[in-house]
Amino acid sequence: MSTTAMVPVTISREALAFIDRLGQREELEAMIDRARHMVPGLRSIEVVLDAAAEEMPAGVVLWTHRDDIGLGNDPTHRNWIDWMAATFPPDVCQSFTLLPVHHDDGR
Amino acid sequence: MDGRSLIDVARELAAGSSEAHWRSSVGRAYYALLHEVLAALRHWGFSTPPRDRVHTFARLKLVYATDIDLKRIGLTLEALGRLRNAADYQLAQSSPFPSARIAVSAMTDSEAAVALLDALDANPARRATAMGSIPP
Repeated sequence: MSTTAMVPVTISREALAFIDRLGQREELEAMIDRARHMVPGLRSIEVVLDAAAEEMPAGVVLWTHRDDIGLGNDPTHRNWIDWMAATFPPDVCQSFTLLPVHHDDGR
Repeated sequence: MDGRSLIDVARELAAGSSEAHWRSSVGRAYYALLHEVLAALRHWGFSTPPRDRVHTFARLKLVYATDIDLKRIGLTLEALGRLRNAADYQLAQSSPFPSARIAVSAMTDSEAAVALLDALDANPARRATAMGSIPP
């Protein structure tokens, strides 16, 4: 586990308006804090609104930009889901998703 | 055919050589889990809605279940659905798909969620608890 407390976080205006409408800014902050401590090789977090598509309502995606640690078993996402399931009620869980963007540029 | 057969196709696509392969793999991984969840819900006595509403139906039944394993499976389905949105609808946004890495992760997550659903369904006591935790 890496501690990357200072990684930059950007939140789009649309995502923030959506989160404020739900009254879930505190929950977002808890998620960002958790991601900073849980995601190995984290470089930055980009919080955006995923517009409603034909099968899904709008929701917030936390794109975690991170080092690519290879194709071996990486439990990060499953650990994240375990934490979300144990921490937040369904109405919060259904509005937020964490997804990775793997960077293999050797930095 | 069952939903899990699509995981094999997701694997083949993840081994492909282009961004189009990797984006398509994500969709197969999502549908593999969706169909397995729908099959389980039908097996447990729930009536599934018309086709355009099955995505929301499957996701919310599990996310709102009080059984923690069902909730985990629901959240995995939610994440795969969001990733599928990016893969299929946001073609200008290339950053999540520079390599096969995210397709392999999606396939692995889908496979793990199907295995968890199988384990739960195979144990009568666990199955009864899980079924009872799903909102009507």
